[in-house]
Amino acid sequence: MRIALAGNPNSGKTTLFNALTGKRARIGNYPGVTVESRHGTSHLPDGTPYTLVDLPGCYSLTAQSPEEDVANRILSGDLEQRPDAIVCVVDGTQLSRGLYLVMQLIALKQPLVIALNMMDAVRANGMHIDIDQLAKRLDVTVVPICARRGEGITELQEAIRRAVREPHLPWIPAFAGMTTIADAQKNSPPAAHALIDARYQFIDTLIAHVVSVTPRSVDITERIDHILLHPVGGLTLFVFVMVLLFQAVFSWSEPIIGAIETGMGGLIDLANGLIPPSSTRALLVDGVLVGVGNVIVFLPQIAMLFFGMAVLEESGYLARAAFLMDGLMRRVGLQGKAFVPLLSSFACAIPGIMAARTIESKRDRLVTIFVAPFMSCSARLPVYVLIIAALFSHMPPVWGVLSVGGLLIAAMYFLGFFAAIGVAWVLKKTALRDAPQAFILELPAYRMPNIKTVTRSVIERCSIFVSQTGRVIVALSVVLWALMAYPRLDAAEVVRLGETHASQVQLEQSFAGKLGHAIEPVIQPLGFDWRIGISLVASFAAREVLVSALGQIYAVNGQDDGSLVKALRADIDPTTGKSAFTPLVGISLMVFFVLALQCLSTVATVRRETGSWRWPIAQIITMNTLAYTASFLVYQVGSLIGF
Amino acid sequence: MTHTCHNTIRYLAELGVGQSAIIAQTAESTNTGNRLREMGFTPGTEIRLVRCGPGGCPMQFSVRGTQLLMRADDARHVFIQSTRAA
Repeated sequence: MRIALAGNPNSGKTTLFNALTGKRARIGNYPGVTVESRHGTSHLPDGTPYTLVDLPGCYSLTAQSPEEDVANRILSGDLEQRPDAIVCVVDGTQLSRGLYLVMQLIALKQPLVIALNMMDAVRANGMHIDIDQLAKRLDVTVVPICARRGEGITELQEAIRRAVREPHLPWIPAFAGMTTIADAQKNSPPAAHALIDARYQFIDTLIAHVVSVTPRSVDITERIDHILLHPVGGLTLFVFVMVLLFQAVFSWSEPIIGAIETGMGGLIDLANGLIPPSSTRALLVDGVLVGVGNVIVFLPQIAMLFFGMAVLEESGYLARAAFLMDGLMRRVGLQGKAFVPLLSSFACAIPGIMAARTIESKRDRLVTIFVAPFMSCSARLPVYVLIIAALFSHMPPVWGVLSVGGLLIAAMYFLGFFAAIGVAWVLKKTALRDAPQAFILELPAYRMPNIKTVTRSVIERCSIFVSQTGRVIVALSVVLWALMAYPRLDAAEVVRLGETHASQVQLEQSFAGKLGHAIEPVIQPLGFDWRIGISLVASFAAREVLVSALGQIYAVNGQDDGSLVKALRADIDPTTGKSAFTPLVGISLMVFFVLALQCLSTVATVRRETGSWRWPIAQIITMNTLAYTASFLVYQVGSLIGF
Repeated sequence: MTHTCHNTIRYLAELGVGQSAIIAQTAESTNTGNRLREMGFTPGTEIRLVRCGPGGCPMQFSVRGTQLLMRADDARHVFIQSTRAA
């Protein structure tokens, strides 16, 4: 048995879904669209289990957005098995828009139950709703509930049972013989408008009969907005909230990440101790186990960001953040809701890309996902730091105070940011030109965040990342490991060379090493030799791997950055007799790292969030072409003018 | 519609902060016009411009007890009748 859960955005639909289904939900993507599907299991009072299908939040069923389209197709049985009954969540404080959706559901001629939600807010607002009258006039069962407090859930289950067992199709005489709005819109827009108006007239009359309001003198939400949306005070507070959120994602997750890395290291040592050396052990430990480590190392940042996002969204502040940032973001071709995803991408693009799901407009969401990896993430920082330590740290400060290294890092952050703006602009003029969508966003009333909804959102995002994105990351990690581990040096050779040298030779003569050599002619115009080539190949696992790969190639003890810095400085190009690692090469390499997409985990995440390989592949091509071109220009122009 | 009562029909975006008006019409063949109509922007409904974001964008409207954010570009799909002070 299947029951569909419909409702407006912000109607408390997710909270009700959680209240009805308990702990678990299956979350996936509908094929071909970027809309997420959620299925949970619940039980009728008589013990019969049923599947609860969470429809995307929508105002209408006329399929003007991907969400409405999906909702429409689920209800008509086009996308999956047609539901046996529909539960529509209506926010009691937003009756007219909620009832407008109800009108469309009634027209579907399926058993229907209305869950009249937020009854606590209704009472607090001094409203009284005559439930019996409402049910009678709509010819639909209406159950008053408060999903946040779990009130009315038992009664709702009983109403669902009756709707299924004793089906009754609502019938409103006034709407008999009317065509659907979607049909009318296709044939005649004025007729569609007349239909919409007729429904709202019906709703207005209905509300006048069933709702009585004792006006309260103060609207709390408006009072808070007066402060939080203030051009000065509101913005100041916003900056404070964002600094806090960024701190959490960037810094507070650091010790947990460290602990995970230590734990994984211990696990790897343990596995190596337990299993006798063999190629199977190498595959399991260096391939799979390291790949699993590459997945869970992202969890602290994802959890931190989604905790913050869920609190902001639940409380109603996220929409206010969009209000405050939209003017600024509009100027760079994005919208207000893109701010938080892009900001968190400075810590890591993966949670940032996942956070883009809060953007309703498909086009804005895709643009945001596409440009998020341009933000200099924390994995790029070790690369910048190494290059600066090796090549720029001895330079005198600019104007006596500003260190060259600091300026360069700042320049790299700006470069990524401006590249994002440029690419966003081009995307909107080209690939995503045809899908402009209005920016219409509701400012929901402020509410205390529900701790259950918040924790559930964090757990859901983490488990989706592990189970759906993680598989791809592990698979790609194993492939990359195999490229670096094969063909293998034989054991006698390892003994003869000693460990540090063996690891250098192993990498050099592996497939990745050969690839690094092979691409040397291609990357030479950027100032990179085959050693950087091999490290670049290796850094596709994660950007910071460049540091350890260079350590391996220069045959220095990988743990000690100081010796790698010395090795890089001491490296002399045998043909020119000059330093192989000039400051120009360093800048070219940094520019490459700013712009290139070389993070398998990001690729896997974009695939998961956009539902196809099309977007991540387009992103790889765009970003890496841009990186190549920019580094080429830096090195060639730099060489010409004598650097 | 515009030639019969030319002086009183205006764009929603022309509303001043704190001012209210009555919705006269939404654009008929635009996606945005349809969406807004379905969100309750029906003729005769009262609408108020509550405030504008930093730099004048976006606009916050109050319609049917709901607070909605909209950009001026999108507000052009809505036409209003005479204005009166809030």
